[in-house]
Amino acid sequence: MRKWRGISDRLGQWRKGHRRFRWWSLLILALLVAPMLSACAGGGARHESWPGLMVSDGTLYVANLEHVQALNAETGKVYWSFPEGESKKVQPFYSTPVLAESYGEHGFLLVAGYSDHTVYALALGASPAERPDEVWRFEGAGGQYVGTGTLADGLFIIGNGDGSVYALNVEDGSEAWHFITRDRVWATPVVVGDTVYVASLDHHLYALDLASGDELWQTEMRGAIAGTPVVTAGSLWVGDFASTLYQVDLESGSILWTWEAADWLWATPAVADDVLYLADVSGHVYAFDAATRAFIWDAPSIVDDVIRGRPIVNQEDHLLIVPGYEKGKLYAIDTQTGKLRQDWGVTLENPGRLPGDLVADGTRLYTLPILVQERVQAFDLDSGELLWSSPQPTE
Amino acid sequence: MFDAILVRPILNLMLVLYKFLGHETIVAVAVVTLLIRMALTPMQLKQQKSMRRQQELRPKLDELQKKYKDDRERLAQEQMKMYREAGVNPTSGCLSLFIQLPLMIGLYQAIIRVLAATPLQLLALPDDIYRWIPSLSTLIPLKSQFLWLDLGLPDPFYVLPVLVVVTSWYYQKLLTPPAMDPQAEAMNKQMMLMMPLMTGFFSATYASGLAIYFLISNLVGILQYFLFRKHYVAARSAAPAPAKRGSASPSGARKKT
Repeated sequence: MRKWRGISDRLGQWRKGHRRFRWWSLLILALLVAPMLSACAGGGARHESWPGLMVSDGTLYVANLEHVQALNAETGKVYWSFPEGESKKVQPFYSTPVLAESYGEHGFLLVAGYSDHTVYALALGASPAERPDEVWRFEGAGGQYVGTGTLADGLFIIGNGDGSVYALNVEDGSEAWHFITRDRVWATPVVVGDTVYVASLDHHLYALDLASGDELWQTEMRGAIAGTPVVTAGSLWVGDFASTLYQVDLESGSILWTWEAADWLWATPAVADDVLYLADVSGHVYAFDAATRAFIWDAPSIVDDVIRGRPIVNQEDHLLIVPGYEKGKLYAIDTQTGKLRQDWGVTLENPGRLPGDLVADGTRLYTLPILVQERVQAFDLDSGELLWSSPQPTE
Repeated sequence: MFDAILVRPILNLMLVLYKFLGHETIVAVAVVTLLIRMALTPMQLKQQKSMRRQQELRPKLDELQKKYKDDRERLAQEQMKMYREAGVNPTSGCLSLFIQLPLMIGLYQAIIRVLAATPLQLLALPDDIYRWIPSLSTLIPLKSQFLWLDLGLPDPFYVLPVLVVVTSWYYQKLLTPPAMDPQAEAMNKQMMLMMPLMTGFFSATYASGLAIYFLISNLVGILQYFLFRKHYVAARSAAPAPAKRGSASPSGARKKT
């Protein structure tokens, strides 16, 4: 009875402050739930992307967060940023810039934004340091640009999140044609002769006529296709989210051969001498002779990381370099044995993550880490030594 | 830990439902919501019974308030004594809220992850998919469009948040027990305003899949309330008069419902 009275007293006291308690409990609840929901929605001050870069004549063109930048490939010094200053409209770039050298006086740089759904054409100056002028923009797409465009026959062909592939006249940005698929197109279109090959998240591979955009054939795959197909040994090779690699006949679209990897195939394979270097998202790396359909290594090389970006091959040193996404590490694999090369590369204190494709220019390898301040890094291709980072931590 | 216990099972359940229910994400979300509501039903019925009893005790509470209007501590003691004897738990509403909270966060995370609105979110998805269930990866990406909605993004026209606010308010109104004093009445009014506004805010700010969860959850709750009331009234009219029950032991009171 005494025990009950004690509990009753405490409840009585609690009820006295009940009103205040319920108010505070709701407030605390809201404060607890909102960050939890925000965190899982990826809500943050900055919308990260996977940035892309291309290198030409000692200049890097980088599409990164809200800007396109030109950098000196040797030093990492930034020549210019577009748009200038802080961008008011958040438009993180996923799409890699493309250089159309034979347009304008010194070439056009074509780049597509993610959330602003816009393709920009920038006329480059006489020197890399000269700020470019915007010559046209294409705002006719309804979705985000993730994949990179391809140049062919005066057209810039690029897939969009609205499910369409757009062919734009490079000269003035006018639309030549567009082709509608059933889902987003994140892969870069591939052009062979007069045919454009388009892989879509709708599980289909399409072949289109380059001049008209008319469909020549379509082939259904098991999973969504986000990686860019490659053409080698007279066939088209593409992987999907059903972990399947397909060999496709270029003319008819018929599937000639399939093989199943351990996990999703998203990274575009690296190709050297008809050998495909494939990596799945759980870190299995395979070397595959496309001409003989034979695997070169006895077993896949396994790196303990997620792989999304395209690897590169350093044929001179028999090295395959693979970007690890979650650990932000570069893994070097001997192309002849499939063994990891521990003597290559450096361990960085805060490497960030590496979702993007690797790019090399013969002497240097460039990466674009995310979630760190250093947004562009250059490594010695032979040793893996870090040469420079941009911006410098003090910048 | 939270991922393994709650988020991944819900995410994979959604994928399985998506596979077998016509490749419609909204149907998968609706069915998962219904399953969660079904799992919570025994607890919520208990809560509703408790609140019904509180309503029935209202005349006695008024008497107690008059009798002990100058001694709030004694009033609280007498109220608790009466609740105890009638088998009523006045804090059962809070328990329901705190059990629903992790489920809501788990479902929301599952929706966001499975719909993967951005490429970086999609890159994180393979880790969450159970490989022992065949062909789940072939379903990716899920169809996120439904009418004007992208289920992975907030409703651009605020239709769902408005519906959520209205249904939350009504559901809250049905569930709110009668106030025992002016202070409690003021608190009830604030709760009836705060809870719908909070769910409305979440619905307007986060993925519309979450708003679908709130909406279906509220509608099912309202339906459940009326079904319960019908059943309860029928059961009560068949039982002895409530005046006699006031002096019954707590266990006895429970047996009679």
